[in-house]
Amino acid sequence: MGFTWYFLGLLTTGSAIFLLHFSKKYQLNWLSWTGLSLGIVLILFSIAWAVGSVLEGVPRAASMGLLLFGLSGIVILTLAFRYTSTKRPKIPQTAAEPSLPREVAIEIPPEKKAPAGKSIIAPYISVAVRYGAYASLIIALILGLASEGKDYEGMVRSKFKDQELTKVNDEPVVFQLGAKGDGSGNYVLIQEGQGYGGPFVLGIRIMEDGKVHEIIPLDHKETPAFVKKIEDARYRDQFIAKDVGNDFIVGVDINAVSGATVTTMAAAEAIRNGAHLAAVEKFKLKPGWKKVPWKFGLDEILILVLFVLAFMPKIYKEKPWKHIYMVATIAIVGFYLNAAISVGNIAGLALGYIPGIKDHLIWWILVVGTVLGVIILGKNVYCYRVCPFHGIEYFLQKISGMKLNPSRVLLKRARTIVNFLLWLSLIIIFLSKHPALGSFEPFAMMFSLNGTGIQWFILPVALIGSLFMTTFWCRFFCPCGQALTKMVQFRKNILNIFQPKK
Amino acid sequence: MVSDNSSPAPKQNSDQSSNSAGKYLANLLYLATILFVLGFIWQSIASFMLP
Repeated sequence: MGFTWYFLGLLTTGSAIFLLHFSKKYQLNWLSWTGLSLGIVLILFSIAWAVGSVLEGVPRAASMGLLLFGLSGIVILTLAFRYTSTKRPKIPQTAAEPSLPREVAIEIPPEKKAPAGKSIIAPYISVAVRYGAYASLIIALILGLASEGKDYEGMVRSKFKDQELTKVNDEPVVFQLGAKGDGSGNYVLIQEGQGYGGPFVLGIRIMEDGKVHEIIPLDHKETPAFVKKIEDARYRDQFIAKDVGNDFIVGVDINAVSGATVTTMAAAEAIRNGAHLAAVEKFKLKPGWKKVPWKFGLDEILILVLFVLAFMPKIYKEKPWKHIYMVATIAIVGFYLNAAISVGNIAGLALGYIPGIKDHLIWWILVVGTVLGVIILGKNVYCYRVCPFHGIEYFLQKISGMKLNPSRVLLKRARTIVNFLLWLSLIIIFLSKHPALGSFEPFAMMFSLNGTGIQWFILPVALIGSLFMTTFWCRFFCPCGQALTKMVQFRKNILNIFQPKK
Repeated sequence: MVSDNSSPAPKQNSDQSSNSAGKYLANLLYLATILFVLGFIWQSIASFMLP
């Protein structure tokens, strides 16, 4: 903490010197002084807040501090800076500053030019790395698909280690508590439901009274923050003491948890499968429960309309429609539904994580629609159109009016870096079979303020970067956008092979 | 880099980007983002490898 105070002291002194110099250059009025001072104070405060929060072990508070105070400070400072440099008169400089004597002036050596000739083997290495990356992804996918999941049976057995547990069914796994055929009707079923990220595996304990008595969480591939949300809301308690013949449908006899609706639906699907299986097989009930209805309401209509509009250049290119469309995507796809797609959704397709169309129509419209757009039309209709984070970036950049760029050295490597990050992300997803582990996009955090650990710091830097650089995240980091771009290129390459050469 | 097919690509040699302070800020933000993304990936690998 001592270093933080020292650093803040340096920054405060530097800011005061900057203000002094600036006031000598422009005639500052009360608005300029207020804006510049407030901006600097907010930025310094956000740094102190963030460091303090990290030291206390609450990264979420640190991120919120950076966003709330730091980003506001940067926006106010930028606006004050723009206002002063464009609207306020300059103070004429009376005398030129004496230049340094020639012998003390630092000579900047001319930039060394790169050798004209390139290595002969460099192109071969580049091709080898590219195909090596593709091969490693295919191997990782095969390894992931072939690997055994967690030992769910072992997990159930260890939970009931004091009791006799007999396996009475293999697919799906059903255990009977006690010896087989003793007629106790006391069962534990292992079932899974499909969420946005992947399967949600639960153990469902059903006793002789035909009621659900316990829900045992075994595994999930959902975003950890959403799972924490439903755990905090004690979502599982809703199912306890319900008859196996109930509907178990979110929105019918089960309440969703706000902000984690998809996760609640995945868990409900697993429990519904287990309870209804027991109802038919063990308790010999006739299916009298409702079938899962098509979920087609206002939310689905809004997403469908936005997705269809993404095919109309007039809407996403021409003002004012472009701005109206962006605000709509931010409000609906972002804050209202939090349905921005990530690399995890695309990688999940390869892993076979496909939720049911009836109750996950939004997922189908956005993910399957985008992938079909690439396959059929060869166009990426999601990025720069439907993506709500692009809208946020666009408006942030408009606030600052700046179009900075990293140095030429970094720009040259930017393409390699984003490819490497995409590769790393996919390798982790395929090997772990857990899409949330490799999805480093800050979208879910932006629109629902849910995140874990270091993820909290990606959002503030992405937003601050977008303030000064055009489509900062989309151009330099987005693995989802890069994956879609690669798919478009791949389609083009395939078509080129089959098209007759003129 | 992800191609933007709806808006014109930013000019890399604009006045502002040639400003050295602006370049330092852009570099700093770019490198900080890479650092946090790699940190997240490291955290994911650790959570996957560790029981």
